Order: sequence, then structure tokens, then C-alpha cells
Amino acid sequence: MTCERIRPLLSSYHDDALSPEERARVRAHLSTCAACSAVLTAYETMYATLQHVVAPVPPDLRRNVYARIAEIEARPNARPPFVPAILAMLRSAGATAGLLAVLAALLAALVRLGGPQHADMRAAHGISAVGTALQHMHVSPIPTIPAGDGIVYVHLGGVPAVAANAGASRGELEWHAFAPGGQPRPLVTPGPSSVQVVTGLSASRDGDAVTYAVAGRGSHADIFRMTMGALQPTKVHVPDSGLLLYGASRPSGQPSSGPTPHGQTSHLVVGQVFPLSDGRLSFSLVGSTAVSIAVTSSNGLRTVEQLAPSVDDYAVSPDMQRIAWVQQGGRHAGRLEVANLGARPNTQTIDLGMGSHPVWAPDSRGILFLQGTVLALWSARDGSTRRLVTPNPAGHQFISAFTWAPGGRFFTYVMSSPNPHGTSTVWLRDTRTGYTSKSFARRWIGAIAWVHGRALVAPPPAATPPSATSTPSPKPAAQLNTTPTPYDDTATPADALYSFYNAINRRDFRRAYSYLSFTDGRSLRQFTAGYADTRYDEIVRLISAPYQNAANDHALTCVGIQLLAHNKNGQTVRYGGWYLVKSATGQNPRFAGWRIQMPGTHVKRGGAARVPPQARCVEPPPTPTAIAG
Amino acid sequence: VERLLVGEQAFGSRALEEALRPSFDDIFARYQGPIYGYILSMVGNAEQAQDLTQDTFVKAFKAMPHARDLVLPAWLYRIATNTALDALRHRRRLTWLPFGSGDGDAQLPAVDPDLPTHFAEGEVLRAALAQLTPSQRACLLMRARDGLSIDEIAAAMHMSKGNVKITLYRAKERFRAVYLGLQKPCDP
Repeated sequence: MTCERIRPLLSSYHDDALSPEERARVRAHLSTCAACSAVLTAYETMYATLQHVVAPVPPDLRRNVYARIAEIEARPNARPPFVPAILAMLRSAGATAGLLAVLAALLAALVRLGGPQHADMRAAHGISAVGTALQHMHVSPIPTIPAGDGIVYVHLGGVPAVAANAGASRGELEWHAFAPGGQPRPLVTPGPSSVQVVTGLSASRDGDAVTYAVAGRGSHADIFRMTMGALQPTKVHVPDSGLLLYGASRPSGQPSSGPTPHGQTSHLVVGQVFPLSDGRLSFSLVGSTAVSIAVTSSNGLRTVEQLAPSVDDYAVSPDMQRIAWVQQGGRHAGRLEVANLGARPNTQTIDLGMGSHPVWAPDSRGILFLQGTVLALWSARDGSTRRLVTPNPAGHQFISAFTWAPGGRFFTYVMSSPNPHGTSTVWLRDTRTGYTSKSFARRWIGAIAWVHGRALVAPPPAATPPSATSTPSPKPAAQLNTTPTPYDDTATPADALYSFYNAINRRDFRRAYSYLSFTDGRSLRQFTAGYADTRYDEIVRLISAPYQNAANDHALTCVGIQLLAHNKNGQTVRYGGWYLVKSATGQNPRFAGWRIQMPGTHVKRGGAARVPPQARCVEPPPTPTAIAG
Repeated sequence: VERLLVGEQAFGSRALEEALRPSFDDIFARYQGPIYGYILSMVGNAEQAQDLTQDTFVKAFKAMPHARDLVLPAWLYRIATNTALDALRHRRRLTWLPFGSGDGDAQLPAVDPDLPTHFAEGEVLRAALAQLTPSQRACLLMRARDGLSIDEIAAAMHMSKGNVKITLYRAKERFRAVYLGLQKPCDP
């Protein structure tokens, strides 16, 4: 074999990309040909030279990249979350007056920090508020979230008034459904004392109750539990524990916090409160010299961990196997650590880096926490950390609170503005799909807890009837005068169509539109206008054809459909035809699964509409627009 | 990045799967150096290389949720290559300057007038790289510098494996010719 013919092979030989036979041939040639051997050596030198080129990474590369990503995500932030900050301050405050002063100062500082709130949050998120285009009282922005779910939160709205007029106000507990159009509902104004503040708040694991701690002077300072059904706070505090919260408390019996070395009375404030899987509670007791982590037990309180003042923000996993805490001082200040509890406590500590405000998932398999200003998820399974919500470094907003839904599939987070309005916006996120949606906005939302609020979803008050646009179905209420239960599933082609028509019938055209991967050039507005006369669509029959691969990447299939369109004028029109449905996994980040490729174009209208032979669907649709898809 | 396919249960299997994908942070930490070096060698200008590296990672961040099977490093190099090639194309449109026509070699592709500045002691290397077509340069750098396999390069370049091999062969031959030719005067 000549050198000329061996040279191309020689290159691949050098790249280790030859078959064994070719390799043998080249090797045989090399053993006899000095010129080709020299070329091979030259190739090797060439690679070595290229490998040795040193290109130090510019120091500001990372910063620039993350700044741009943050801009894209525009999940604002850059300031420390005020809720943990407030809690931390409250916990470190030694006296009532000091506590209030701290709070007032803090709020004042927040107010000072802010400028006018420019960016439209929705646009900033790059997320359209799906589901809010037309309002339905009982439908959550994410359809798979049960209707009636919402959050109980500490409403700090009245707190600034405290500074001006001590004794006037305090943080209140309010409830608000995720469903758009709802109204906040005040639940509790803690205690008769003017200086009581809710310091800890959490939902029970089933989401039917909240537990909260109230700090302040007087007998009402304590831990309370309130079910969403009854709305009657009951004390959780066990009297024989010897614990008297805030004020003249002298823990006796259990050495939970103990008198200070000088025998003085120790002041205790309950910080965070968590429900545990067995129904007990864990909470932190913050004294002047130490933080104790305690659990309630049948005969009182038991201190499970006495922590130096250097440990602050903490969370016990619901299964009680682990604890996450933030080191407050010392060499590792600000470090979020996860340690094992149980039989051999603290045998293993996991360092999560700088973090704060850990919140365990209900199944104890993960922690939501703030990594700097970014909301991150740590997986207990493999120890990975994933950033979920990156706030905008411009700092117009920051993440001020977050919590899990009882099932652990969803979580909610609050973006707050450090401006004089103190606007807080509540967002929902589906961890399964990554789908994010804005829920509602309210001024000064503090700590939050996710609850099922079915009992609280009052029928829309007569005084404020929904606007005309939000009531799709007028008088002839033969059928479907109530909004159908949301259905949102795209796991199969048929499900995609069911979901599509479900959204239509809910008048959630934005959602319906989102099921279309090809829209015929119609805008959402035009699409919505197409349903102006439709009262609702009734699917008579769906026929799923087997999946077929039309291309390598996109699975295409046909779904036959017969439906009855019930119009507002009382007429009913039959439609029949095929939808071309396509597996759109990966096309739209908030929307994996099947999507409708050819909306409507194959659906024929008419009295005798029936599903045409499938062959018509399998062939490429005749319209030129189909090719563009 | 090897921890893609663990576990099923945490928050629902899909959520976990999502949670366990390599995070953007992982990818950035692992590849910022290689990608920057690769792009720098591609475009030869440190400032532009930094911009393009940023573009690459921002694009990667945006594309991540869409990327079903995110095969690294080919996926990332594909983005980087497209970004660099786009920039080179654009630059050529803007500069209109034929390069290397001085020695009468009309076949030489119009390469970029301001190629590498980072080869402090490697002017020869820089000049040799400049004589390659952008795609030759891309293939050669990915293979020689970053150690990607032929398959990975094919995936990154949208080329067949055979095409990659041929491109590599031509790149090496040209590089060798230029490199040797340029080196000679320097040799004693």
C-alpha cells in the first residue's frame, strides 16, 4: 500500500478510530515506512502542543454568566430574605421593647432600601400567569393543585404601625387561596397583648392545620395549633414542662434551657416550629445564651439538642432522622449542615455550603434552602444541589419565604420587594414539570404555611360578584354551569386532547393554547376569539391510533375525535375529525408530553360529522402549513 | 455528572430525575475552562472568547430544560461550536478581508484577521491554526485539545463520523504543513 493511500488512514489511526483490520494494515505499513512514521510523530507532537496551550479562565466569567442567567430568569433578589432575618432578630432580641425596636428598624430599613418597583414580575419571570386570564374562584393556577389550597401566612401589614403607635398592631395570620380572584381572610390576631408577634409557623403534614408560636408578654405567648376546619387556636404547650415562654420564664424539670449561670431568669422565645411525622412538634427555644431544639412528648417537653448560641436557623426532618442547621458563628458561620439524629446523633455531617432557611420536603428526601439568594434544592438521596429559582441580582425582589405542599410535589415561594409598598408575590412551582405560576400578591407576607383550605373557600360573596368576563356560562345552565374539575395531563395523546378541551371548558384559553405545538399563526387572542360563541365542548368519542414515528425525534400519532360544541345561542354543532398529535417532550420547558400538532384543521364541521378513515390522518396533512410544523 | 439515573422515589420519580440531572452549576464548574479555551482557540481573541463563552453557557442554560438526553460533553461543545462559528461567519461578513492571499495560495479560506492573541510564545501555533477552516479548527481542537471522541465530535458538529475523520485528516495535514513551514525559519 502506498503512502498516499495510507495517509488518511494514518490520521484516523492516530485518532484511534480504525477497525482492527485497518489498524493492522497501518501498523504494518508504519513498520516499513519512515516517512509515514515521521508524519505520525508530527501528529503526536501537534496534539501535545495544542494540549499545552494554557488559557486561564477570565476571573469574571462566572459572575457574568450568572448575572445574565439571573437576568433571564429575573427571579429578583440580591438581598437577604427578610423573614429569616426578622426571625433571627426576634430570636436574638432579649426584651420586648428591643424586639419591637428591632422589628421597626428592620421594616424601616426595608422600606428605605426599595425604589419603585419597575419590572412587571410576570414578564421578569418569563412566565405568563397561566390561568389568570379569566378568573375562576376555585381553580388553582396549576390545575393539579387541589382547589381550595392556599397559604396561611403572617401578614405583617399592620406591623409598621407599631413603630408609630406601640400597642396598635401586630402580625396577623391570614389565609389566601392560590386561586386567582380570592380575597385574603384574616384568621387570628394573636393575643391581647400589643407586643405579640408570630415567630414560627408551619403546616401539619396533612395540610389541615397550622402550628404557630407567639412571642410576647403575657399568658398568650405560647405555641398554638389551629385546624382549618375549626379555626379555633388551641394551646400546644404542655404545662408541666416547666416552660413558660417569654417573660418571666424559668424552665424547670427538663434542663432545656436552664437558668443562666448567674441564676437569673432566662428569657425564652420559641423560634421555629415543625410538625414531626408522629404528630409531635419540634421547635427551637431561643434563650439569651443558648438555642435548644425541643420536641413535645406525652409528658412534657424533651430537649433533644442543646445547641451553642452558634447554631441558629434549623429544621428537623419530618422523619426525625436528620437535622439541618445553619452555623451562626465561628469558622463555619453561615454554613448549612445536615447531621444525622437518631441512635448515634451527629455521626455524619454534610456540608451544603453557605445556605440558610432549610425547609425539609414532607418525605424528608430533600431540603429547599437559600443558597445565597438563590432557592436551591438539596437531594438527600445523592447529595446533589440544584438551583431552582435564581433571583435578579438587580435586587428589585428577593425570595422572602417558601414552603412545600403537603404531598411534596409542589412548593410555593414568595418574592418580596424591599420598597415602600412591601409587595409580596406568591408563586407556585410543580417540581415534576418545572411549571411555575404566579398566584397572588399581597403586601408584607411573612412566614408561610401551605394548607388545604377547602373549609375556607367560601362561595363567592354576593357583595362582590365575579365580573362578566369571568362567568362564561350564562343562564341556559342545562349542563356545565359549574367549572369542570381541572384536568391537566399530557402523558398520552388522548390525555392531551382531554386536557385541551378541559381547559377550553374552564375558559382557560391560555392553557388550552399552550397544548398546541402548531397554531396556524393564530395568536392567543385570535384563538380565544374562536371560542367566543362556545359555551362548552363535549367530547363524544376519542379514538387513539397507535403511535407512529414520523421523524426520528418526534413521535406523531392521530387521535380521532367526535365532539359536540354547545354554543351560547343554544345551538349544538357536531364536529368530527383527526388531530395530529405529537410528542413534544422537551419543546416547551413547562410542558412535556404530547401536544396538538394540527389544531382544528382536520376537524370537520357539520351535522353528519363523523371520524374519517384513519388513512386521511396518516398521510401528511395537505395544507402547506403542515410542512412548517 | 455520572449521577443521572439514580432513584425513583423522592418527590415522584420525574421530579427526582429532574432534580438529579446535572445541574447547570455542575456543568458550568466542570466545563468553563475547557469551553473557554476551546472558543479562545477558535476565535483567537480573548475578549471575544469571553463573550462567546458567556453566550454559550447562557444558551446552554436556556436549552437545558428542553434537552431530553443531555449528552455531555458533545451537547455543550455543539452549542459552543455553533456560537463560535456564527461569530466567525459574522466577523467575516463584517471585515471583508481575505486572508493569506499574499503567498498566492488562493485556495486558502478567508480566515480571521485577528486570530489568537493568547499564544504568547506560540505565534507559530496561532498562525497555523489561522490557516485552517473554522470547521477544521473546531474538529482539531475538540480532538487534540479537549480529547473528544470522533463520535462526540460528530454529534457536536452535526457531521457524519466519516466526515469528521476526513476533516481531521485535512486539518492535520494543513496544520502540519503550515506549522513546519513556519517553524523552519526559527530553527537554527
